[in-house]
Amino acid sequence: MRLILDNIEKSFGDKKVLKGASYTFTRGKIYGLLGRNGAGKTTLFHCIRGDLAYESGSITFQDGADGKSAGKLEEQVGLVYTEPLLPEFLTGHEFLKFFITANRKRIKNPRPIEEYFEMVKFADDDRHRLIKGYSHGMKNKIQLLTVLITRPPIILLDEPLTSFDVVAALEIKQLLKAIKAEHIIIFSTHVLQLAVDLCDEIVMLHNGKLRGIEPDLLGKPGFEENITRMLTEKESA
Amino acid sequence: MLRALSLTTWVAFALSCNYFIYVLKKLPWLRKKIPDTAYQISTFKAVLSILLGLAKVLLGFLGAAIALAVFIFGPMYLLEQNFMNSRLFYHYFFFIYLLAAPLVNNIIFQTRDVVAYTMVHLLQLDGRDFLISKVIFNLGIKALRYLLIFLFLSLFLNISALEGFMLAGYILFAALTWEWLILETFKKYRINPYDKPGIVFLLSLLLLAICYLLPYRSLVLNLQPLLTNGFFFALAALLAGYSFWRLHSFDGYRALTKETISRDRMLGIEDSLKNAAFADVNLAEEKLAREEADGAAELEGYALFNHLFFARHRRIIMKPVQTKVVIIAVLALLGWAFLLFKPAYKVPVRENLLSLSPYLIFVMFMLSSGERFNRALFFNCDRYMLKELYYKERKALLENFTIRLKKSISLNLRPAAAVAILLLGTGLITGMGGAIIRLLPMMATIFSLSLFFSTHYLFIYYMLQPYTVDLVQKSPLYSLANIVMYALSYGSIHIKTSSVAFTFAVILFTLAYTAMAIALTYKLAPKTFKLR
Repeated sequence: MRLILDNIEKSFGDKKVLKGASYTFTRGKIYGLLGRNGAGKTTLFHCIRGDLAYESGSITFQDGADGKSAGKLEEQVGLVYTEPLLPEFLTGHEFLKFFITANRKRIKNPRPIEEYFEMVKFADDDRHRLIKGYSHGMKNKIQLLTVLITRPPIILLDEPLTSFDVVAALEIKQLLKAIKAEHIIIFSTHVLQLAVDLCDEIVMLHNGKLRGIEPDLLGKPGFEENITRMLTEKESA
Repeated sequence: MLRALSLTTWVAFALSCNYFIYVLKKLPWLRKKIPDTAYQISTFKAVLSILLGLAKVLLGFLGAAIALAVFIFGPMYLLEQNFMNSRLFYHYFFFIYLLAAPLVNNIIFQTRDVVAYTMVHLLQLDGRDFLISKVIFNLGIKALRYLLIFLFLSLFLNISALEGFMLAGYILFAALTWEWLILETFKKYRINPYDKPGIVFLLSLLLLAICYLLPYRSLVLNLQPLLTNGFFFALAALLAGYSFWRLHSFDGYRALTKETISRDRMLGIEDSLKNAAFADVNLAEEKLAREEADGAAELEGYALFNHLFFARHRRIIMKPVQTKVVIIAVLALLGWAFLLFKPAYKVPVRENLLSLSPYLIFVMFMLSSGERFNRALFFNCDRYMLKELYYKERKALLENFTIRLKKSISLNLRPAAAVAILLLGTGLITGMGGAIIRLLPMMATIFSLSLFFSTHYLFIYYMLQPYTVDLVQKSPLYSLANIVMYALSYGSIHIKTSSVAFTFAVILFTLAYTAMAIALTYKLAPKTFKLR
């Protein structure tokens, strides 16, 4: 299972955000997408999910050993946003009931709603409260659950752990590690330490291009300085 | 204060310029010709600011002139066929400009626009500085505007230039005094009358009724001697000065602006969930469990989703519908009572009843709750959901659309039924007898139009989705579509046709339009119904 980005270019008005971004992501790994504010991480995620049209390049998802492209790309992608957007007039329980019944065809092995709540350690008392009253972290857990329910092959996580408390963040990290074997997980973050802790590979998005960091370098002395230096490099003419 | 004023003016111009450029960039033939750099501060933007400022000044004069024509000179002409009765002029002026207008146009409690939100919440400008500078600026400009208008009118009417000066002064004094009185009421009783627009509406209606009914009973207050008296003018100025001092020394603007200038108020949205469910979690849970028991337990998918949405937003969706039904019922009862007490009017009413068909389009347009319905859908539901691909799939969109359409139709049918009963009742009371069957085409027209407007509003919402994700801007095309619909509905009053032919045309058009709306929603909505 591979996700191949080839020379993606994307502009907003006069500003070019992606300038030929290319990379190949494979199954079984958690990728940390590192980049400075405004580097285009979220834009790249939206291009992969098909929400945003890009000007040139291609994004291909290959499934199986024969290397053939699977069905529509957007159907293979699950995205968890930095700012979770959920219908606030529903309770967490009602939302999951709606989500599961509205997406029945996509869910291979549906489980009882309570089991899903258990997966992310969602407190009993909170399940029947309106989402409007949920904390940022609780909303993020619900959003993460939508991905865990449908289990798309590609999971994109846009800065999801920043809102979790220490315990919740650890639980989610363990959960992601537990499911990574069947997925391509790309995880965007500004926090270098988080990327080092959780990810198998780090990919930098800088000056509109993607660049992989040697896995051997992860956590080595001078690693942070090297990353900082790379992220502050000016674009070569 | 001066700093607050100049900052506010600058921000207001920057916002209007940016919005104007934004609208221009939305036009297909201009989109590519205007670069993004147009938003930068430049000569182009400076010129645009001046032009927009000039347009604002001209529109201000136009508005003031129209207000004078509608509220004073029109009624004067209707009553006496001339504009020269200064006693009548002062009578109207007193009620309209010194009582009703300052009440309706209160600044301190009704400032809730984007500029206010930006200044007070985003730029952290002191609430007092912002509101007081706004009071000074707005009322100063208003007084100046009316001074020029009255000086101009003094050339033709029975008003001297000095009187014109005094009248403009009174407008300023009355507005300041009312601002203080309303603030004082708020301070003492914690009542914000503008939270319940019904109170202000009824009070102004009462004032207007007294203002216009008294002259019909030959009672015109002789206010000219009082209002042209220099001593009284000075007294009014002193009261206004005192009011201003009290406004300025009020120390609760911070809390006040927090309440009156909120994001929701700026956007004109209501959220029925607000304050409802969280003050007491247990109570909320019990309430929610009860609501779910009301038929939701068996539902799934979008049926469940919409059922809960409408159940939990019942107040904001149902309230305007109920208000309309009550207004129609009150009008019906008053009208029927009038006919019972004045039987001489039965014949002319009966004879004219059938010729009302062309008015039905405009009436039903005014009675439909489409715009409010769409806002409730977007602000409380779709803005969260439109990021999800499954929510934007063709089948899901159509399922959602049809559930919402049914709901919108059922909502709009209530005022439609009220209008139908009003007409039928009037037919019976005026003695139409068996000929009442001739009203049937009108009944069919009413229900068809109700269906048409329900479909139309939801359809353009799905085609144009006018609201942006940051909830500030609105699609100019959507506003244009609404204006065009208003103009067409209003224009239809002049249609001359028989009742049956008219009904037939309305039904055919409604059916064709509804079919087209459903087909186009299925085909186009996956692309058009999106976050902006």
